[in-house]
Amino acid sequence: MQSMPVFILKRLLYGVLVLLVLSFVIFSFIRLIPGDPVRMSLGPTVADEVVERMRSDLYFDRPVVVQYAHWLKGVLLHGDFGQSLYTKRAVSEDIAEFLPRTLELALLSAILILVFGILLGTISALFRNSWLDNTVRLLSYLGVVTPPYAFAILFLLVFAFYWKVFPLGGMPTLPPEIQTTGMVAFDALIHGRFDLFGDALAHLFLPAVSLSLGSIAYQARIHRSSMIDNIGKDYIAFANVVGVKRRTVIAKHLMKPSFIPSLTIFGLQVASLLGNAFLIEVMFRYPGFSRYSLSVIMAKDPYGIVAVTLIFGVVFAIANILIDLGIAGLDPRVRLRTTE
Amino acid sequence: MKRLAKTMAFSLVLLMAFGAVVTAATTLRTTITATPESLDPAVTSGENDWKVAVNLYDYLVYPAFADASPEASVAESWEVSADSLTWTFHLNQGITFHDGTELTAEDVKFSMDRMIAIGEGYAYFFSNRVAETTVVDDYTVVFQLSEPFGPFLVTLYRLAIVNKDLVMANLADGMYGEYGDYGKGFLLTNDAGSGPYSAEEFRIRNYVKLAKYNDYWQGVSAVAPDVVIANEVLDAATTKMMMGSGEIDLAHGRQELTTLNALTAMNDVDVAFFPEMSLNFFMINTKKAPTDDIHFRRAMAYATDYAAMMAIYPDSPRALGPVPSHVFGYAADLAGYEYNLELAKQELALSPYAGQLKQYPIDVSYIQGNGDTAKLCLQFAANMAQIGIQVNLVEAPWVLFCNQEESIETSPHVTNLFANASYPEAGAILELKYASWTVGGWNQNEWLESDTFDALISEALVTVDSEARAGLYAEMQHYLVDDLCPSIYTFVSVLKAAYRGDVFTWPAGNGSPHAIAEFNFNYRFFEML
Amino acid sequence: MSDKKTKRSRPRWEKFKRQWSKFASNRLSLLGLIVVILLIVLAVFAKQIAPYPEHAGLYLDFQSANQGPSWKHLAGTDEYGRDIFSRMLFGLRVSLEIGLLVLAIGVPIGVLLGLIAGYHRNTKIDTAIMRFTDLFMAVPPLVLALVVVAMATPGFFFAAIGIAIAWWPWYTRLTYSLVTSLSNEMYVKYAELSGASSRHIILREILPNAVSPIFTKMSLDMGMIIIIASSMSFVGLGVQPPAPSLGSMVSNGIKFLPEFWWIPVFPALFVVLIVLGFNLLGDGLRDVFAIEEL
Repeated sequence: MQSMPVFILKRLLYGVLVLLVLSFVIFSFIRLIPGDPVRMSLGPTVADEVVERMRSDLYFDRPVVVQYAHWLKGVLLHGDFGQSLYTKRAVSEDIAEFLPRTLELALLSAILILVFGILLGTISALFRNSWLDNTVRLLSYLGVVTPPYAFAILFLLVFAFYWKVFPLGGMPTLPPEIQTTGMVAFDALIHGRFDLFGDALAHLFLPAVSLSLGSIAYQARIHRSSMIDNIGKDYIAFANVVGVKRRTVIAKHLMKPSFIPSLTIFGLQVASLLGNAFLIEVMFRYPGFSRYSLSVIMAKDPYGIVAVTLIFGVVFAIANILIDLGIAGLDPRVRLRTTE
Repeated sequence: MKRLAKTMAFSLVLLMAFGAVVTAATTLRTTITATPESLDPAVTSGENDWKVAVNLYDYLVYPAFADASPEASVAESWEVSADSLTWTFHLNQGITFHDGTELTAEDVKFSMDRMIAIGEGYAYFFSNRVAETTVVDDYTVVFQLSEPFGPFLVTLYRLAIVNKDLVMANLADGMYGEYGDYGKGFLLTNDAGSGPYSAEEFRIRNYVKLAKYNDYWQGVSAVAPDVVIANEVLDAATTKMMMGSGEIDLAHGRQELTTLNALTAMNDVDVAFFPEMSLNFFMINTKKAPTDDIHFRRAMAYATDYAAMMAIYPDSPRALGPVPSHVFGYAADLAGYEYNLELAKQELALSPYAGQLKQYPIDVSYIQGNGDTAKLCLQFAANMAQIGIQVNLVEAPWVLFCNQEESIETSPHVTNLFANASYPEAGAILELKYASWTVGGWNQNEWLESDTFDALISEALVTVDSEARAGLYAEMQHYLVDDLCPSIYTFVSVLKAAYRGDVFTWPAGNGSPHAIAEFNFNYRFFEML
Repeated sequence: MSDKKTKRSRPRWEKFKRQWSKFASNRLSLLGLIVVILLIVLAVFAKQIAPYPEHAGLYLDFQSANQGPSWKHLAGTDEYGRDIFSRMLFGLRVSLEIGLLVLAIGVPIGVLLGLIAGYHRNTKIDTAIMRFTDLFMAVPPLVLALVVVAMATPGFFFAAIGIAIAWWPWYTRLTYSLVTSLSNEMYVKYAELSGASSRHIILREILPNAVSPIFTKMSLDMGMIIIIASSMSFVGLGVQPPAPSLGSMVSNGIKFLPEFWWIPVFPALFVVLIVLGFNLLGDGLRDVFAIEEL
C-alpha cells in the first residue's frame, strides 16, 4: 500500500522519463529527414556562408547526440527551447505567448464539458425515457458524431455573422500592465477589469463551445448510463427504503460513484481537446498554441516541433495525474489499492 | 429664457459631438495574408514585410508613382564618379527618427554595413558589390563599389535607414562578434525608423498596429489614418464576414476570384487594381525527361490555352516573356507563344518522346493554398491531355514544395507559381529565375544552368548605361523565349484589393496606383473620410 | 415431453442467434448496421453508382461551376464544375479505405503486443511493452499523427500510417486488460495445467474471447478515425487533390459560405452520417456483448 505523495511522485518521475525518451526520438527524427530548414527559412538568394553561419549558430552542424545534450541543458537550466525558424525568435517566447491562451480555451472547454455533460447526463438518467431524456440522447448522439470543425463553421455563421451575438474570432490583447499569466480572461479577472474580462469571454465562448460540444455529448451519455447502472444498485434501494431524502440520495450516494467512469473518460477528452484545438484555433483565428503547433509542424521547424510535442506531453501528463487523483479521491477502492 | 437655455444646451452637445468627431483617432483596418516575419528590414524580403517597411522607414531614394524611377528622398542629391564606382549622396537635414534623434550619414553607413554583415533578405544586392561605405560628414555618405552595378540606384529602394544609436543600445548576444545579434532580436518587433508610421504593436501571426508619426520630415496629412491595424486573415469566409460587418476596411489583394466577387457585390465595396512586377510561370524542368527536350517544351507552350488561364485570373495582362511589361528592360518585340494545337502537335512530333507519351507522364506541382493556382494547373492538365501528355497533379505544402526543389531529380517536371522582381528592372527577375547561382529553391524549377545566360546577366548587371543594359536584357529575353523555352509565361499578376469606398480613398483606388505593388500601401497617402 | 433425440448442440451458433436477436431488438443498432452496409455498398460500387465518376479525377468545366443542388447534380457542383455527389461517394471510399488501413495496421500490432504483455504480465516483457506503449500515448493522437505525416510526405498512405501509429496503443491497453481478466478464467487455468504452450493458450483460449470487445472498439473507432483523417485533410496533410477527400472538400468549401453553401455542407453532413452509422453499430455491439464503457 502506497501513500498519496509517493504515488504522485512516482507518476511524475515516470512521466518525465517517458517525455525525455519521446523528446529524444522526435528530436533525432526531425534532424534525420532530408531537407535543410535553414536554407528554406532564409530563401534562395541568401549566400551559402550566411546559411552555414546560421546552421552553426543553431547547432545543426553537430552530431545529433551533441545537439540533444545541448538542447536538454538549455531546457533544464535556462528554460531555453532553442530558436524557432518559423517565428524567428526564441521558442520559449512563443510558448509564453501562445500556451496560456490555449490553456485558457481548454480550461473553459473542460468546465463546460464537466458541468453540462454531467448535468445533462443526470437529467437524462433521472427522467429516464421521458421526452427530455430522448431529446438529450438524440442531441448527444449528433454531438458525438459531428466533427468539431463542422460546429465551428455552424456557430461562426449563425452566431457571429447572421446574428451578431459574438465576435468573428480573434482575441483581444490586454494592456501590458495587467498581463500576469498570459491568459487573457483570467488576467482581466484577477485585476478586476470586468469590461476586458467580458470582452475576452465573448471571444472565448464560441471556440470553447465548438471544441467541447462533442465531449459534452459524450459525457452526457457516459454519465447517464453510469447513473442508470448505479440506480439499480442495492445500496441505493436501501437508502430509499430507509427513508433518506431523494435529494440526498442523488447528491451523496448516486453522484459520487457515477463520476468515476465520467472522469476516466474525461482524461481522454482532455487529450482530444488539445488535439482538436488547432482546427478551432485556425477557424476562429484564435492566437493559440495549437495553431502555432500546426504551423511549426508544417514548417518542419526543428526546435519548434520538439518543444511543441514536449509541451503537449507535459500538459497531457499533468492533466492525467490530476484526473487520477480526482478518481482516487472519489473512489475509496482506488485509494486503497496499489497502483496497477 | 427657456428657449435660450435649450439652444445653448443643444449647441453645446453639437460642439462636443463635433469635437469628438474631429479629435477621434481614425483607424484603418486591413487584412494581410500573413503578418511580417520580422520588422527588421535587413532580414526580410517578403511582400507582407515590405508593406509595413515602407511605412516605418525612409530610403535614400523613393520610386516615383508612375514608373518607379528614382526620386530624391532622404538623399536630396547624388553624384556618381566617372568609373561608376563611387557614389556620393547628400542627405536632407532635419529628418528625425521616431525617438526624436536626427538621421545622419552615420545611420546610413550603419544600415548598409548591417545589411551586408547579416547577409539575409535583400543583402545580396549589395553583398559583393559595395566594398565600403564612408561617412564624409553628417550629411554626406559615400558608397564605394567593387564593380559597376547598373541597377544600384533602384536597389537602394530596399535599403531602409535604421537608427544606429537605438539599435546599438539594444544589442543582445549573437553571432556577429562585437555586434552581438546586431539588434535582430530588438528589431523583430520594434522599429528604429523615421518613416511616417511607427510600429505600436506587433503580435506575430496575429496583427501589426501602426501609429502615425506626426513629426515626419515630409509631413503627414491630418486625414491620413492615425492608426493602421493589419490583421492576418487568410480565411475567405472570415474576410467576407468582416468586410460585410464593417470590421475591416481594406482586404489584401490576393483573394480568390469567388471571394473577390462576393466582396465587390457588397455595398460600398470597391476594388483597386494594381499590377505587380510579378508573373505567373509554369516553370519547366529542363534537365529531366521528357521536359528536357526543346520540342516537348515548345509543344506544351503551344498547347496551353492562355485565354482560359486568364479567365481564372481576370484583368491580368498576357505575358509573352519573363519580364512584366511595365518593368524597365522589357523587350516589347517578343513573339511568344499562342494557343495553337496544330503547332503543338507538330512540335511534339519532332520530339524523341513523341511515340512514348504514356511512359513519360509529367508531374505538375503547385503550392497548397496559393490562390487559384490549383485551377491553373487543372486547366494545364486538361490542355496537355489534348495532345496526349499525361499529367499528375501534386499539391504540396510550402515546405515540401521548397524541399522538392533541392535537386534536379526531386524537382517536378513543371511547377506553377508567381515570381516577382525585387527591384524595378528586368534583371531582377531574370537573375532570380534563370541564373545558375540561384538554383535549388522555389524560384527556379528550370535548372537552366546556361553559361550563355549567366554571361549575359553578369554583363548586364555591371552595365551602367541604361540603354545598353536594356539591350542586354532584351537579348536575354529573346534567348529564353525564342531559343530555350524553359517556362510557359501566362500573365502578369494584378493585385485586386477590395476596400470600403465610404471609409477612405487612396491613390490606387483613384486610378493612380504605384508602379511597385507594396508602395501602394504607404498609408501616408491615404485619406480617411 | 422432452425430445430425447436432441440435435447435436452447437453452442457457438446458438450464442450467435441469441446475440443477433438481442442486437436486432434495438432499432437504432439495426439502423446503424443498415447504414454501414449501405455505405460499404456505395463505396465498393462507387464507380457504378456515381452519376459522374470521372469528376473524381482531373476534371474541369468552369461553365457548370458553383451550381446549386438539382436533379442533374444532387449535391450541386463545386468551383471546378465537378459533381459533388459523385465526389462524395469516392470520398466515402477513401475514408473507409483509410479507416480500414489504419485498423489493419494498428489493431494487429496493438492486439499482439497486448496479448504478449498481458499473458506474460508482471515480467520484464510486460513492463517493456507497456512502457513502450506509454511512449506513444504521451501526446494527443492527432498531434502525433500530424508530426508523423509532416515528417514524411502528405498523402493517403502516410496519413494512414500516422493515425495508425497514434492508434495502436489503445488496442494494446484494451487487450492487456482483457487478457489480464481472462487469464483468471477456469478454462485458461485448466489449459495451463494441462501443459498447453503459451502460444496455444493465447491464440486458442484467450483471443477468441477477446474478439468481441476488440471488434466493438473497432467499429466505434472507425468513426473517430474518419473524423481524424478528415481533420488532417482539412489542414492539407491528408489525401492529396485532385483525389476527393471529405475533409478537404469541407475545408476548401468553407470559403464559399454562405453563397454556395452546398459545397462544404453536403460533405460535412455526409461525414456525420458515416460516423453516425458506425457509432450506432458499435453501440449495438457493445450492448450485445454487455461490455462496460471502455
